[in-house]
Amino acid sequence: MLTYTLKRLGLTVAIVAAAMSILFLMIHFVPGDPVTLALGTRATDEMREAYRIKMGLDRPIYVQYITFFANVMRGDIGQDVFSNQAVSTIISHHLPHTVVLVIVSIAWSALLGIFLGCFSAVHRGSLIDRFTGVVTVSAIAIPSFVVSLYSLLIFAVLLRVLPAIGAGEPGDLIDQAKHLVLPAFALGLGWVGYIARLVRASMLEIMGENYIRSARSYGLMEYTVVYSYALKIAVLPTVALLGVGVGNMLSGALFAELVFARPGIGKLIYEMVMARNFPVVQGAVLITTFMFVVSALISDLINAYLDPRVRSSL
Amino acid sequence: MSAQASNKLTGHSSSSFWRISAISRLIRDPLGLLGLVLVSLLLIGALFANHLTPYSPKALDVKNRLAAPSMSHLLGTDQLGRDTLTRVLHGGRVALQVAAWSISIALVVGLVLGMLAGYGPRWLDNCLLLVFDAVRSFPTIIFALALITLTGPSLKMVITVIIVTSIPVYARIVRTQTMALKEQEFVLAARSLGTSWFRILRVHFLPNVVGPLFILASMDIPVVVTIESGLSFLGMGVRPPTASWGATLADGYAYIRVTPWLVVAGGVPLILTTLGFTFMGEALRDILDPRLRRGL
Amino acid sequence: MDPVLSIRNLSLDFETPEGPVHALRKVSFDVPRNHIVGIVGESGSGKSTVISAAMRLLANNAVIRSGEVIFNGRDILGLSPQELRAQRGEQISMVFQDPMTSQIPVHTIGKQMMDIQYRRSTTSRAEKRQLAIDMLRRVGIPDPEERLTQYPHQFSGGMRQRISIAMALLMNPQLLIADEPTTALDVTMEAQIIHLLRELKEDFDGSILFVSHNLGLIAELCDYVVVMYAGQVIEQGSVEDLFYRAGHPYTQALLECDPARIDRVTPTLPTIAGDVPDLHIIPNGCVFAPRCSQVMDKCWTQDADFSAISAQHTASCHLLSHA
Repeated sequence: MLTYTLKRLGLTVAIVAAAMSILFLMIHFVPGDPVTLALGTRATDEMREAYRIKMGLDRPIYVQYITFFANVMRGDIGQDVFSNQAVSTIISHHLPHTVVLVIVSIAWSALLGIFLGCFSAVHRGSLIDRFTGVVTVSAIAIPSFVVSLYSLLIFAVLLRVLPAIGAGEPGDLIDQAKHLVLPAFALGLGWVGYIARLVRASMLEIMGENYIRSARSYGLMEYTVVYSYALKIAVLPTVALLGVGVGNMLSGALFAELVFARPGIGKLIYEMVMARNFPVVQGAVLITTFMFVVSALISDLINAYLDPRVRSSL
Repeated sequence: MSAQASNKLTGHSSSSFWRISAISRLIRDPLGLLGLVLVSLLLIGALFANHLTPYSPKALDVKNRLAAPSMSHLLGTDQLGRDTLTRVLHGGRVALQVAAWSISIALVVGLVLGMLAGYGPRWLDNCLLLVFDAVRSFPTIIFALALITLTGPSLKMVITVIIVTSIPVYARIVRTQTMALKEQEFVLAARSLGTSWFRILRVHFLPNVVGPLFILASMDIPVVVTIESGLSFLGMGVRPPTASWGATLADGYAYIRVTPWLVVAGGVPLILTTLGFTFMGEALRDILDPRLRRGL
Repeated sequence: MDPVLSIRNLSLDFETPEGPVHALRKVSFDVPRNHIVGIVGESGSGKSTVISAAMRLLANNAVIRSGEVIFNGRDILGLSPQELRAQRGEQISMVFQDPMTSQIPVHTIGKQMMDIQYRRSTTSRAEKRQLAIDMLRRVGIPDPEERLTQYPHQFSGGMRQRISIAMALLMNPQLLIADEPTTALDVTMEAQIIHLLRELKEDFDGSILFVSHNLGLIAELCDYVVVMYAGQVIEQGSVEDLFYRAGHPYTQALLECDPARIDRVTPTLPTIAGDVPDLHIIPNGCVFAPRCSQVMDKCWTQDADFSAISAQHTASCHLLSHA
């Protein structure tokens, strides 16, 4: 297990390094002058020159590349040109809200998805199974920002049962929970579909296996066979999927935060993009990418750990 | 797939027959049929957008802004008085154009890179895989926004981003098939008999690759349409006054407390399109290769 | 004393898109208490199907057309799923062919053995654990306390089959059904498992229904033998009757084909010519007629009834009814 963890860790580091390199290349080789981007078109020549030196843009490319990596490793992912605050500080103010949203969304979608998948598998071929099948395919297909807009329209604007804007009063958990309902619903809906389908397929495959037949032949209760035995094996791939889900949800969270005017890193990115404030955007890309890769790594390792067959063979 | 390959050995061309039977089976599946109908509606709407309504998508009529649906404006009007239905139909054009360009280019580049990775030296394969994984580790929309911050919003950028993030997915499939082909003994046997690479590729490689790629591409269309709409919704895609479903949704969002119709009009075609292609893609996948149905 | 299991005139079809497959036709045999009965036949003879019917663990497309399966005096074909489940493990249990896929991979065998004992409501956890340890030791697993905490994939095939036997006998069933339990094992393992089964039968005072295609094993282990071909029982009797006085041409041919009995060296191994019939279409006459070396005209048009060769030895062949 230890070697496997180290190998995966090494691979993750390589991927992050490669991603950072791609980001660097993008910044320096995409048409568009970074100085104008940062300072706007009205900047004077002195300001531009000062900025160039400050940002190290006058140094050769390879020096900039190394500096870039060195800075990130020290925790310095740039400075906001306008406010001179460290980008990391800005992001750390906004990130927690997004993290809460993503975690709540993944949690509810995983729970409902596992339940639906298991239920469909056990009642295979029934009307409920077929209906759930159509619903899950649809949930996967429909874009989450459309779901956000429509749930805003129906529940907040037309029916007025849930709040439309913001994250709720700080300190008031009930209020904050109410503000989470619609965004978490919109974000998680697609994943309910993915997870339900995956669990259903796994369960169907497992229920046909010899060891399930053996368990039945010992006279074990059906719910032991299904939930303690079959489901335990079936949810293993779901754990790995959740790591990928985080990355997906970070993109979706952006829309949810905009539509519901919630604070968070998505809303931050949007505002910074509109303001052409590239350092913050770059920092946010780094952080979100890093989060994605790390969560995929963690879920992979958990998956390997939970499956005894994998664990002892590694 | 194997039936097609073996028929190639006998010299008969059964591929067109095989495609016809696939379509007839598609029609028999209720969801597949629904998907086919929806996709056809989209295509007709997009192709004949100019002829289906009397309005131009840019025609302003500010006095009539934000009107509810009526006989003269079947889906109402937007905040500048433009007929929503017309804009929706033209939005379909944009969606399809983006999908067509981005997927076809990504397929071609993915094919080339996949074959390079699969057949080339080990170090090249590892490098390419690392690049693929790195590109796929950026959350797509956030990556798009970063790029667009540098270059400014445009539909071309949207297409570029989609191409760049789609290539790794196609390339991986091609790479897997290429590596499988490399291992097969009959390739060595065929080569020793003097069979040209071209023939080997055509007979043994292409049939195994075309199916999964085709299915993947058709399942990719709703994803691509979603990305374009999403970016246009953020104002990072189409530039006004070009019509796009995402732009209509953005307009609708701004005026959501005044009228729900813009949001409805922008969202419904998007929903129908994604559902249509997804249902059709699922049905096709079940028909062409049920083994691919692994829950996702 | 009544037999623990009595199969009477069981006929079973499998529904397929190409029409029903007549997998079992009028199968009848008994398993007396405290005896070992073997079912021998080729692949496709129906031996696995008949024991699946006895356990009521059939596939969804199986349809029982007629007959009874009487276990401990009750026709289990009419039982509800709950009643069937109550029987399994406690009164009738099974050991399957492939030991490598017979245990749940993600639970320790200790947990699985404890789960099996869930019906022992008056027994404490510690006692159940001890019962499991004792059973593992009985089947020849060394260090059983250690083994309880291990996962199935950490054991070899032979060990896993022993564990399967331990699990099957844990609740002291009256009938143990073994479906080719040694086919997936090598010869040394096979011999050990057979010895183990013989010892255990003495210990736990029950019956064993042993299915195999290997005549040598049947001869080693069983008291009575049932020979099946193409979904029918064509001969049954005691081991001595069958091996020394086989009545049906198929049984005779099988014995001739057994490599252990060959006394003359020939360039080819003896086989039975022809193929097992397609069970979609059942011919009017004897089902073995196409491959029988002693076939007569009558055999093609009329299926033979069972003739008694001796008290407990019957076979269905026209040759015998002439005698």
